[in-house]
Amino acid sequence: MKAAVVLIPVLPLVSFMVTLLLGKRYFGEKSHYLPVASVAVSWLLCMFLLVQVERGQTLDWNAYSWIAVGGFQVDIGFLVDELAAVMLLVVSTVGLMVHVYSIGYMHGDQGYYRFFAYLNLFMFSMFMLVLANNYLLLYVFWEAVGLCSFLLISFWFPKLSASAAGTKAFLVNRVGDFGFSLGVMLIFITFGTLSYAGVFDSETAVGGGMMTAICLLLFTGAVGKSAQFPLHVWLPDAMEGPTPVSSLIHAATMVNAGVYMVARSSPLFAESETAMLVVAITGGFTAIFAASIGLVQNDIKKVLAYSTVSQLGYMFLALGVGAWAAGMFHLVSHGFFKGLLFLCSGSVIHALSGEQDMRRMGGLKSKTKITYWTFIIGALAISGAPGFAGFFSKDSILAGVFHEGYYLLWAVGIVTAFLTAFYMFRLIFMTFHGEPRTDPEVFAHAHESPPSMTAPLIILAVPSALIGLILGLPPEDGHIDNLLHHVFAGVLPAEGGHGFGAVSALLMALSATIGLGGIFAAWQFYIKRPQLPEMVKARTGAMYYILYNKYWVDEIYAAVIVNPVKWFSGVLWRFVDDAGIDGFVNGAARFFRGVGKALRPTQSGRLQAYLFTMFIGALALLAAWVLLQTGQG
Amino acid sequence: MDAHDVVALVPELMLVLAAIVLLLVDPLLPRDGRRGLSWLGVAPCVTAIVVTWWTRDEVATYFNGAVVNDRFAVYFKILLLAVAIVAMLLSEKHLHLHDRLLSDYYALVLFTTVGMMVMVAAIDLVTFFVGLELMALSSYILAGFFRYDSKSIEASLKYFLTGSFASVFLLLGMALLYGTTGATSYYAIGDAIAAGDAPESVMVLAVVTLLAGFAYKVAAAPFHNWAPDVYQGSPTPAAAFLSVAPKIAVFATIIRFLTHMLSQQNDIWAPLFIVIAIGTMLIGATMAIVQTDLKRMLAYSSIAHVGYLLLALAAEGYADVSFGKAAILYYLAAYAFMNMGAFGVLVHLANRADFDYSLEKVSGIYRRYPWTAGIMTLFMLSLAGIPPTAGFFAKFYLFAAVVNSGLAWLAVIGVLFSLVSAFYYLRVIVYMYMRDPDTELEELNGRSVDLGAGLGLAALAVVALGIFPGPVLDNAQDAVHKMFTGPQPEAVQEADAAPGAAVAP
Repeated sequence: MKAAVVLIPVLPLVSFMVTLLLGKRYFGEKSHYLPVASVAVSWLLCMFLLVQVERGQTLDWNAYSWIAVGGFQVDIGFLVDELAAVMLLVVSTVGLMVHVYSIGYMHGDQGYYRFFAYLNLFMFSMFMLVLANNYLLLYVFWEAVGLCSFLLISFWFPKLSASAAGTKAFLVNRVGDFGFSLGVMLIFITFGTLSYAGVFDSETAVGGGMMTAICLLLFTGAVGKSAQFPLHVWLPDAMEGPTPVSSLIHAATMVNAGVYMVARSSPLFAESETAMLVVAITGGFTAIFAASIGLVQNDIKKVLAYSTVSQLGYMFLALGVGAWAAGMFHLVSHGFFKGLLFLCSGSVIHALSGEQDMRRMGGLKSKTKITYWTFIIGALAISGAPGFAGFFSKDSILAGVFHEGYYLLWAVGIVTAFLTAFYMFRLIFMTFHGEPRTDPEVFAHAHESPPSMTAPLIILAVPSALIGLILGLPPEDGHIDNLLHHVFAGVLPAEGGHGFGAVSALLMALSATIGLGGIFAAWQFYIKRPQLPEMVKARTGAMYYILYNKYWVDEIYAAVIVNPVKWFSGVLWRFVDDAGIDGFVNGAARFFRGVGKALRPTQSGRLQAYLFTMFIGALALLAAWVLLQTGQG
Repeated sequence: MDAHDVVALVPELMLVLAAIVLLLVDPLLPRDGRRGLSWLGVAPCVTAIVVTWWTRDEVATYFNGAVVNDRFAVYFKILLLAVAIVAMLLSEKHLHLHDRLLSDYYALVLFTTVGMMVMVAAIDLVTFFVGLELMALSSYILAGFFRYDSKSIEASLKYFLTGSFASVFLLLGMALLYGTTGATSYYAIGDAIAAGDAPESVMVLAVVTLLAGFAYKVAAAPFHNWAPDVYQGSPTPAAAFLSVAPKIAVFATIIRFLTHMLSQQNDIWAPLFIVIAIGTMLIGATMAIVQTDLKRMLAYSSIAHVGYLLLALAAEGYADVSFGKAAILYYLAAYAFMNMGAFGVLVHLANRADFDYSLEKVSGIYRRYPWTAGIMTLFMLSLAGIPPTAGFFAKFYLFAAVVNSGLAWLAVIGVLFSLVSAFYYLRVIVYMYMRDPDTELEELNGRSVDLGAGLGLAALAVVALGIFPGPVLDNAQDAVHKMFTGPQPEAVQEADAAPGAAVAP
C-alpha cells in the first residue's frame, strides 16, 4: 500500500520531468505516450487504494522528515482514508480521460509536449494535495496546483487575453491563499503541530473566537481556489485555457480542492457555528448568483464556468449545514458530469473550428452524434433528472439543508436547481438544435471528433449517468454515506441521520419536478417559441442587463481595487522604488565594487607580499586578541 | 601494530595500491587513444566508500591511538572520496585536450585523498601532520601539472612556498601544545589543558599560531592571497578539487582540535574566528564582484563560503547548539558539490578553443548549449543560496545555528554578505541568458562520458541535498554526536596493553 501511495504522485512527476526535458527534441508527436501511460498506472493504483479503503484499510504514514529545526518539524507524509480515496477516484479518472482526450484535442499544437508535461505536473501536485497528511504539505501543493493552473490557463500565452487571464487567476487566488497561509500559521501557533492527526486529536482547549478565526481564514483560501463569491471572478476568465484544462482543473479537480480542504477540516469547522454559517451562506449565495449569470451568457464555456461556480456553491452549502457526506457526494458526481460537459464543449468547439459563441452554433445534432448524446447525458445529470448522478447528490444536499432547518437556503437551492436545468438545456438547444447559424462553410466542415476524443466522452458518460445509483441508493444512507461515515463520525450528530421518511420522499419528488420543469422551460423558450427570449429580454430590460454584465463585479473591482492599487504602485515605483530602493541597491553595489577595487592592490601576485601579509596577519590576530581582552577587562 | 590495525586502513591502502598501479601502468599504455584511466581511480574510491560505510559503527582507535574510526571520520572520509570521484571524472577530457593525459594525475588525486583521510581520522598531532603534508605535497604537484604552462608552474610554486610558510605556523602551534603538555594525543593534551597544566600565555600563542595555519589552509583572510592565483593557474579540474577537498579535511581537523583540545579556550578562539570570518566574507564578496575571470571569481566566492563556515565555528564558541556542528558538516557537503560543479562547467566550456575563462565568453551560451547553461544556472543558484538547492538548505541551517547560539547580529552580517554574493552569481546567469555572444559560438566537441558523469553527479547531489536533506543531515548529526571523545580512564591502560582494542565511545 505504501508503494502505491508513493508511486501515484511520483509517476506523473517523473513523466513531467522527462517530457519537459526531452519532449521537444526527442518525442515530438509522440510526447503523449509517457504522460498517458504514467497517469494510467496511477489510475490503476488509485483504484487499488480505493479497494483497500473499502476493505477498511487506511494509512497515516510519515514517509520522510523534510525539515526539522528545533521544535518545528515538517514531514512529507501521506494520509489515505475514505475522504482521500473518494477524491482520488475523481482526480485520477477525470485526469486519465483528459489526458487521452488531449491527444486528439491538442494534436498539432506547437507546445504539444509542453502541454502534456504541465498536465503531468498538475496531476502530481493534485495527488500530493489529496494525499498530504499535514497542513503545510497541503499548502505547498495548494500553491503548486495554482501554479499549474496559471501555466495552463496562459498556455497560449502569445494571445494577450490568455496571459491576462492567467495573471488574473494567479492574483485573485493570491488573495485567498494569503488568508489560507495565515490560517495555517494560526493552526501551528494554536496547536503546535500541523499534522491532521495532531490537530484534530489535540487536547488543547481552543477558544471559540480563535477557532472561528482559523476556520474563516482557511475558508478564505477555499473561496479563492473554489471560485466562490466574491473571489469567483477568475474562473470564467480561466476559460481562455485549452478546453481539456478547463475540464480537468477548472471543473473536476483543482477547484474542488477548497471543498476538500473544508471537508478535511471538518473537526475544526464543527467547533465554530459562525464559520459554518458563513460557509453555508457563501455557498448558497454563490450558487444562485452564478446560476443567474449563467442564464444569459453566450460563450459555451462561460456558461459551463458559471455553472461550475454555482455547483461549487452547492457543495459549500452542504458542508456549511453539516451535510458533509452530501457535499462530498456532489463533488464526486459533479466531477464526472462537469468534466464530461467541458470535454463535450471542447468537442463542439473542435467541430466548429474554434467557434465558442452559441449564437453562431445550432443544428449540430446530426453532425456530431456522439458529442450530442453524451452532452445530453451530462446535462441531464447536472439538471437533476431522476436516476442520473446529479439527481441523487443534489437531492441529498437539499434534503440535508431542509432537515437542518435552513429553509431559506433550501429555497435558494431549489431555485438554483431550476435555473441550472434551464441554462443547461438552453445551451443544448442553442448548440445542437434549430437552424445552423454558423458560417455555412464552417458548418460544412463540422465533423465528429476523432476516437481519442469521443472515447473519453463515452467513458465519462457512464459514471455521469450511473454513479448516483451506485453511491447514492438508498437516499441519505447510500454507499458513500456509509463510506464517509468513518471520516465524519466525530462531527455528525450522535443519534444518526434523520432517516428517509415521507418528508424526504416529498422533497425528492419536488426536486425532480423542478429539474424537469427547468428543462421544459428551456424547451419552451428555445425550441417551441423561439421568440420568447427576445420578449423576456425586452420586458425585463434592466434585469437582463445586470445579468449580462455579471453584476459588474469585475468593473467594481477594477474601480475600487485594481486602479487604486495600480495608481499606488505607480507612486511606489517612481518615488520609493526608483529613487529610494534602486538608489540604495545601486549605491550598495557601487559601494561593494568600490571596496573590492580598493582591496585589489593587496592581490599583487607577488609572493613576498603574500608571505609578508600572512606574517602580519598572524601578528594582527594576536593584536586583535589583546585588544579584545583589554576591551573586556 | 598488528593485523587488526592494518584492517582499519583498508580503504586508504586500497587507494594507495590503486595509485601505485596507475603509476606502474602508465609507461605500458600507448601514447594516443588512452581512455578510461579515470576509472582505475574511481573504482577503488567507490569500493573504499562501501568499505568505510560498512565499518561505520565499529568505533575504535588504532595504531596506539594514532587514528580513530568514528562516525565523524566516516562522514568525512565518504565525503572526501565522493569529491575525489567527481574530480577525477571531470579531469579526463581536459587533460586530453592539453595533451597531459597521464595516469600520474589520478595517482596524485588518490594520494591527496589518502592524506586527507588520514587527517580526518587522526587523533594525534604527528599523524595529523603526516596526513597534512601528504595532502599538501600532492596538491602542489597537481597545481603544477601542466608543466609546460608557466601559469601552472607559478601556481604550484606559490602554493608550495606559502603552504610551507603556513605549515611552520601549524608546527609552531603544535610544538607549543606538546611542550606544555608533553603529549601528542588530542585527548591527552585536552586532559592536560583541562587539568591546568598549560599557562595562559602559551595557550594564547598556540591558539593564534594554529588559527593562522588553519586559516591559510582554508584560504581565510588575511591568509587567502594564494588562493585566486593558485586556482587560476592550476588545471581547471585540479582547481575544482583543490578548492574543495583540502578545505573539507582542514575543517574536520579544526572541529577535532576545538572539541578535544581547545574546548576550554573558547574565550580565545571564538572572538578571533569572528574577526577572521567577517574579514573573509568581506574580501570574498567584494573581490568577487570586481573579477572578470570566472576562475578567479569562483576562487573569491569560495573564500566567501569559508567565511560563512567560520561564522558557524565562532558561534560554537559561544553556545552549544545541538545542530551547530552538523550544520557545518552539511554545509561542507553542499559546498563541495556546487563548487566542483561550477568549476566542472568551466572545464566543459574550455573545450571551446577561444574560451579564456572570462565572463564575456559565457555571453549568450544558452542558445548554443542550453544544457550547459542550465546546469551552470543550477550551480550558481545553489552557490547563491536560492531554494530548492543544496546551497539554500546549507545556508539555512548554518545561519539558524548562528542565530540559536545568540549571535543574531553575526548571522545578519552573514546574510548581508550572502546577499552581496548573489550579485556575482546572478551576473553569470544574466550573461548566459541575456547577452549576445560576441562571436559565433561553435559546436562544443566535448562529449565525454566522464565529464557528463561528473557534472551529472554534482548536479544530482545539489538537487538531492536541496530537496531531501534528511539522510545527509542525519549522518552529519550522528557524526557529531557519536564523535569519539577519548578513551575512558581505565580503557587507557587496556589500550596500552592491547593496542587497537575496541573502546566503547
